[in-house]
Amino acid sequence: MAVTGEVGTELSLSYDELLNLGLVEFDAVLVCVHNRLGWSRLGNARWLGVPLKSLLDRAGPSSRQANLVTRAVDGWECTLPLRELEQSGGYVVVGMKGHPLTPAHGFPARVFVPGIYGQYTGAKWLTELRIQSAPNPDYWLRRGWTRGPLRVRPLSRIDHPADGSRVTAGALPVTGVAWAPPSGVREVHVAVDDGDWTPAELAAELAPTSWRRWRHPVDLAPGIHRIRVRCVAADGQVQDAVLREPFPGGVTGHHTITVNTG
Amino acid sequence: MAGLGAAEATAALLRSRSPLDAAGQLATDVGPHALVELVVRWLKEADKPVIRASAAMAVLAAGGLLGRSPRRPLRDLLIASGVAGAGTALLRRRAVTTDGPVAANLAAAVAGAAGTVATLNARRPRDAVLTALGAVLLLAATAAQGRRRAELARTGSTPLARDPLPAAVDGAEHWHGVSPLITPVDEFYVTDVNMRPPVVDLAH
Repeated sequence: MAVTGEVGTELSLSYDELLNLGLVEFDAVLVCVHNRLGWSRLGNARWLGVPLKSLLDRAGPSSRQANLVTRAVDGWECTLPLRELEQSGGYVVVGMKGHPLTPAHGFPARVFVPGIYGQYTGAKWLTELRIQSAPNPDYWLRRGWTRGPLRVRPLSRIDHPADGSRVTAGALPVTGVAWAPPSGVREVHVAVDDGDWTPAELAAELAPTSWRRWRHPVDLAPGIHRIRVRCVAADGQVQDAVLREPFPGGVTGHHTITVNTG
Repeated sequence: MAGLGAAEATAALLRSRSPLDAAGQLATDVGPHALVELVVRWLKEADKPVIRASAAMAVLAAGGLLGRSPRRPLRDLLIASGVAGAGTALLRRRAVTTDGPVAANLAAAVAGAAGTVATLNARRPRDAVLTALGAVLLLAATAAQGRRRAELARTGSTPLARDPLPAAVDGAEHWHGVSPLITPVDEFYVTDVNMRPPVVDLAH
């Protein structure tokens, strides 16, 4: 892997040299911008990586206003403004859950900035970190997507019960996950049919960048019911209720399921 | 079928990139945006096998149409040269070090062109034999490419953190039906534009 472009010292690092730079663990949710309400195109992991800051400091970018272009071994590129990295951090990731990355997840290394959607967060199969001032024709930019970086919107999902399931009338535990990286999840609310939002119980927060599990018991009369969920981020941002498609800025809306107690 | 089988088998033998993967990659990279989004939405994780199968069907359909037209040696030679040239360019596109040198890509493309022309100019039952042979080669090549990728995918020792975090627990371990706090690696979503994830050989 190389650090090139508008830097004081260009670097070239082998995999072993990268591992010896000092690996740190961090917990964070990675969300695909194509994820839809109720979908599973996201996951929460314990990652292992080198902080981008320590790596870039060795090379010495010529300007803090420049961009970091991350390049994959097949030429795929993605740009992150350096000022964004100063706010959000970011890592050159080499492992997940105590193991090296698999090829599907970007072995030997990938760039991940918690709080930025997957396709904007950096290249997998990393081969180059390039500092440049000029705009870069990123892959997704050429495909009509919004110029990045695109931040993950606060969102929540109902895991149980499944949409369309038949359940017994009476007390029903509703469980799920919510995420709002990097600030974290402050509250999760559940509503049944056209009722008011009521706060759910939150599990302990692993990290603000991680997802947070929640549960809420509901009492259902016989019939068909809608159950909705929303979350509030630690920075006060409330999950957007307006239903939008993932393209071009990420999905919004409330995950809603229907259950039948008949 | 003979051309497809010959190209895939030569690519597998020379450890070059799969021509079908390269064709699928091109369709993903330059296909209409709306169509790509529709594929992502409706096919979900099955998108890549379907794209590969569609590329194979398109090649077979083109071969079938060509086979119905009268034989013209000069035209067939021009088509073969075009297939070989375009095939090589396609195989070099977004290639990585483990996808083989340009000579291997060229050989795979030429084998594909030669197989196609040989079948077009063969009479029954030789064309049927060539077609069957192509199907066998295609299956064998697919298996060989899969084995090679599995070999290359073996990664090294487990890297260790300087200061490991405490165990990941949040008190919701027994909540009914909730997602795991840490998503298992084999269940963690993979969405990218590569037909197959590049396998990086650290020795290169």
